[in-house]
Amino acid sequence: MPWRRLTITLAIIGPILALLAFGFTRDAKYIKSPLLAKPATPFTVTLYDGKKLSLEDLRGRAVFLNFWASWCLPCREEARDLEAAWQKVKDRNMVFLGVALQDTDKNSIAFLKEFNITYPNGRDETGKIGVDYGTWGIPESFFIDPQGRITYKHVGGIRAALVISKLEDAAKGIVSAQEGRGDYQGVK
Amino acid sequence: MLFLRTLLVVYALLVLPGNALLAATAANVEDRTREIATELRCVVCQNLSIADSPSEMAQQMRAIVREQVEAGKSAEQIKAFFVSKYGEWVLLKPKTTGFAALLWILPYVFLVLGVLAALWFLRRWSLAQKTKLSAAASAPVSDTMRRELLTEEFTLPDLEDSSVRASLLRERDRLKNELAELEFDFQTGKHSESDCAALKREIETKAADVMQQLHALPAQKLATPMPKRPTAKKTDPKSEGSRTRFRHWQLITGGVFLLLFGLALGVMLTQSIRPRQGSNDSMTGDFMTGTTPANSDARAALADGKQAFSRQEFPKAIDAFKKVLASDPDNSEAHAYMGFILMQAGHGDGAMLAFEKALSRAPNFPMALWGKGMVLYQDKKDFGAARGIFEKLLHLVPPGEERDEITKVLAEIPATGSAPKPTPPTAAAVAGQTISGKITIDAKLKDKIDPQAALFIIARSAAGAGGPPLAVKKIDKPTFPLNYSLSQENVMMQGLPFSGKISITARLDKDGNPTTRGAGDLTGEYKNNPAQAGAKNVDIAIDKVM
Amino acid sequence: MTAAIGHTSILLAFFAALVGVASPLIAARFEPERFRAVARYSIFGQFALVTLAAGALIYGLVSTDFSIKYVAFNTTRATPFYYRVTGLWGALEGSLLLWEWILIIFAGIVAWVYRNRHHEMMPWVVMIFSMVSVFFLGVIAFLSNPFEIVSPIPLDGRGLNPLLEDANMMTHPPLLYTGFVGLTVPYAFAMAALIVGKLDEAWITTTRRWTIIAWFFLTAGNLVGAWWSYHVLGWGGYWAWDPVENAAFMPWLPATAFLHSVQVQERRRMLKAWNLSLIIIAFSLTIFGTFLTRSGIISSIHAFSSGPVGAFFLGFLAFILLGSFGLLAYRADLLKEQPELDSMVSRESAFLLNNIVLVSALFTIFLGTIFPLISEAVAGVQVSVGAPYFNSVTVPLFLFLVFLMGVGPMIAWRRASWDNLKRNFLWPAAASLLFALALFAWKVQDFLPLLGFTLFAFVVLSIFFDTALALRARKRIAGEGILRGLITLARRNQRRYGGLVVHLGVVLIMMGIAGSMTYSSEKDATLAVKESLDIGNYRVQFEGLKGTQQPTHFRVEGSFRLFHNGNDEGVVSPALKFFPSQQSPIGRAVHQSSLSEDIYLILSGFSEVDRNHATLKVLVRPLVVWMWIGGFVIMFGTLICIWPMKKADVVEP
Repeated sequence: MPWRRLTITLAIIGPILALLAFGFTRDAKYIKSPLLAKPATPFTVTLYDGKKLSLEDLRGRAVFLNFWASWCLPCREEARDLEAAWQKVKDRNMVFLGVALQDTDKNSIAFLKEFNITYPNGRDETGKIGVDYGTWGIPESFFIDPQGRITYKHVGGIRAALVISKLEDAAKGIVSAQEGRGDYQGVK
Repeated sequence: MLFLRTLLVVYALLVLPGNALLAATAANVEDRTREIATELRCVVCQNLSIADSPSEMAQQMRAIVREQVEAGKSAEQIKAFFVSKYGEWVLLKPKTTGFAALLWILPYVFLVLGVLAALWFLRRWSLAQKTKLSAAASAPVSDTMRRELLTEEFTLPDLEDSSVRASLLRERDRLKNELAELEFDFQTGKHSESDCAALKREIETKAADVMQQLHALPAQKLATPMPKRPTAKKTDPKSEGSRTRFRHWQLITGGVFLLLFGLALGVMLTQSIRPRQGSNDSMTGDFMTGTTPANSDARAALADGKQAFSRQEFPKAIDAFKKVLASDPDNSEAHAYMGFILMQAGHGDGAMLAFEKALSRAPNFPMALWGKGMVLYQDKKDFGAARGIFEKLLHLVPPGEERDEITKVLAEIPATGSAPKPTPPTAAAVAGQTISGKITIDAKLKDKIDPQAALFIIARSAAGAGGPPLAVKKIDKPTFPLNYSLSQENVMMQGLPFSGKISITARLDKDGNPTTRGAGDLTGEYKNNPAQAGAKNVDIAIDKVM
Repeated sequence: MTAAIGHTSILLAFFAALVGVASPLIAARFEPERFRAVARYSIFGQFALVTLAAGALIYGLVSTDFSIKYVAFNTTRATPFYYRVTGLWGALEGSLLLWEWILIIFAGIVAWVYRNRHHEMMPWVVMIFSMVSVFFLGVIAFLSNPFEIVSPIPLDGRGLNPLLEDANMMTHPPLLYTGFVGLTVPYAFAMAALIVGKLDEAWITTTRRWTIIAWFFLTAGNLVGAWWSYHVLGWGGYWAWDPVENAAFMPWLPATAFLHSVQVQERRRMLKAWNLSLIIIAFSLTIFGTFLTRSGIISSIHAFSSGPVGAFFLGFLAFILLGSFGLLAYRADLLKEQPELDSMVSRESAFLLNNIVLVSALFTIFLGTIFPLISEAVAGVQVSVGAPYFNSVTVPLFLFLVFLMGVGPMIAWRRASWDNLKRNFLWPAAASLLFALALFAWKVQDFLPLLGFTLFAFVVLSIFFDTALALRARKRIAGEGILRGLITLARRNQRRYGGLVVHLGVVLIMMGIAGSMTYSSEKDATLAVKESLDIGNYRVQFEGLKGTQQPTHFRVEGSFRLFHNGNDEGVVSPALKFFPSQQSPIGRAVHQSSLSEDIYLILSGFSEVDRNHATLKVLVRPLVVWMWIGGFVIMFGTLICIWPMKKADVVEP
């Protein structure tokens, strides 16, 4: 029995099989973001009430930036949670900002009315804001600290408790080690 | 005059090259955008570049690339921008630095090593051979032996026969083929004379050796019959020891089959190029569409029944629905409609039964739930249960006009107390799904009517932002005045509700194509557009020419 | 009822397969003759049962029996008949049943044809087939059962994925699966030969035709896939280097290498272990391909919805690899050989180089396909390996291969004389250089395409010259004219001339690829009615939009009038199909083909407001038609190779 040949063959096959097995442990479609701990790209968005809001205006406060769309199911599921979280932190030095992607004004406004969203929301007309934040899934949430750094990214639906806890982290400037994941779907 | 002309010429000379230059740079922008786009990965589609991907996100990303190209950024900078947002993942062509450098190096390393290894082995093997050849004695090969080798017909033993004799026979066959191939190669000018002679000698020497061994073997019957093949002996003389020969009929059958297969494949493939003309166009025609006559009848009957119901021709509707239920006793839609008809007639219990039957097969059928709720509310006055049903319905229906209806009814329930409502809101709610009225042609245009023209009644959702209309109904060779009705079944896209505020227009179209509006078409619209779904007397007078 | 029949048949077949695996093992231990026959009968039994199960599923699909979950998920009442049948392989469970069905058909034919031969090897061949069958039947029966019942019975089904509603869906998967499964035959024989210890040419000679047929179906399946992608998917390309496309292409490479190196083994009795390894790798790659599609470890447009099936496929793959190579190592002493090679300048060397290049190509494509995994595992970085990479890395390899294709016919077996080789080389080389100069002067001025086309010409000329020399020899020897000579040559040297025709076909395909990859042009624009777009020799004029409701979708067609060199060629209608279940519309592109180029139109969008504007993308792709022509030439060449001939006429083994 030529052990040498056997060992060589095993040395080639073994790692390949191990690699394929490794493939099961992660989601092939998930794109890790390089934006954690990087400064958040400034942008200006026209809110639905007509006013213009830019990220610079929010400097000095912790920001929860949420990308959503009216046709996205996980967004519907998290909408009430987000509003509830907003109600809780309204009086602290924190801001919620929602940006609608690939949507129409009519549908987004109807969405906001349906869930009684009170925090500022605007529409990304050209898709540039989405690309600036490397969005590929929907909904996606970003937490930005008062100095304008992204401290945490969450792809998919997010619960109120997590929102508040990550916002508090952001207020203190703590950057999370990893992104978070919830139920998501792809952008169009 | 001359001065002006020279000015013009100078002006042209200055401007035109400039335009050409501009055009050149514009083309360059497109080309450069496309070039860069082919290297960026679409985040939505799998494995396509944003240049190839049809998705919205890809278009947005392309727009960003174009903007940056126009701003003068280089390809590297634009790619770096995207990498900063999406990571290296977004590059379809992996970087040549860092870990991904392995990807670029390894293939070439493998190829070079492989070729070198091959050459090394080839050299070793050919050196080994050289020693062998020179050692082989060039014993003269007799002519008889040569003749025997080349001309004698012999049977090849079974592949599974592993006796010495069999392997010798196989070796002889191999050598014979080698000799023939050598001859062929020489004829086609691939061997030199000396090489051919040397190789020939070698093969013949080997063959002579094999033949000697064969003759030295104890004599045996040429074909020793193997245990489980009694047929072999019989077919031996016929088949000349060949197992690969097919009888003529087998060849012909095979050929015919191949021809048919090729034809079928060709026909199917070319058919796939032909554009389909419409819903009736299928590759096998109407043959074998999988719907049994009973099924299609049932469907047609269901449609009839719905139509009749919307026109409030209840006896006809009942007949049609009964027919449906005859072939499909559990059809939820038919039961639900029957329920509404029964409610109209005042048979609350019968209606309840019908709705229950509808819900048994499809427990979340909105129409049946609405009906059941209404029965409970109005007939049975069981407000608690009615409430429950309507609340369940509320969760099932997406936001829209219907939702509002339900909320309205829900709000009404405690308010009315026990007074029965005179007008059955059920009929209205269901008939709320129709719009009906009369269409007339203005006297002035009576002579402009084209007898071949078709009448299109077009319903557009008032709230909709354009796009295809909500519902369209076509009536060939209309006679005026014409009574019409539009309802859910005329809706163009599945799933869109025929409800809310709807604008109705009518058009007498000469070419029969609803999307084109040609000159000479006659149109008109409802004076009080938009109408509310469920409205009657939505009359239209056709009084305009396009 | 249907579901019950189907599920029971599968279970029974599973047990029959277990018997088929066990009986040769028992026979080997206890030597009763009966057990060998039992193995064969188990294959026939499996064949009957699996056919029954497949028939049951097809019946369920055609009669829209929505009590079966698979039927409910893959058809609707409105689906036409032929798409219901293709629903059989439209989703994971059914596709596994199709694979198993084709496998057992092959096994049945092999078991029947060889029922009175190869007495030592056949039980083991049957055992290997049963082993693969056990795996697939086990997965079908217990993990992804197409006969699952759903209650309450839905009113209507969900329908086939709209992208799959196309005539090519009827041909592409079955062709490809037949190719994959066909490779099981030489694999089974190779394993049987290893087990029994008969490592001479018997197993190769027996499986020769089977391998060529499997190779042909693999080629055809891949080509139809490319055609589908080009003709229907509407992005103007035919090969995206998608991981699953790579996985379908990868077994083709060792199969081609195998077809060449067995010829060396037949003549020189060398490369035995190499050939065995090649066939093991080819078969393992087919399993790897199904694994990749169903496991979800790499994102792909072809991926089925993943389930627990993936892990089991990986387990089976591991079993195959370790078992086969283990067996090979165990028999290493029988594989020791004394390779004899007369000269380094010989066809044997050319074939060995051909093998090296093909295996390098395999390595490259494999590396590129799993590199995202490697990168993530080792460096923690997510990378994408897409078309630009593969195109740039495989082109030199394939050009080298083309060169070898040209040299092959002109170099002799055993020992080719340098002078003769140089002479044979000179004519085609000189002619192709002239051709290159002509091309350069005309249009082709970039290096790679010029090199490519020169090499293609070189191969064609080499084949032509070689055939001419052979015909001249025939004339000299037997006085035959050209036609008669050709027929005699083909009859006496079937595999050689069949192979040369196949090479011609391959060159045509590569010509199509080279032309369309380097000289395509594209343009997009938004046109108003009556506006037109110019590209190359074409003008495209927008005429109007039309919306129609189809049974399963809403279709918006744009009518465009095509002018070529000023001539009105008629109206073409690319379309956008809006399916209720899809968020974005699915495009339906159209193209007009000619021998020199295709013009390809994609309707990207339209203005919903006034319906007077359409966004159009036009591509002009040269030489694409030659790819499909090359496919037919390959088919013709394969037929020449495998056509059954009277033994006495055949010169070569």
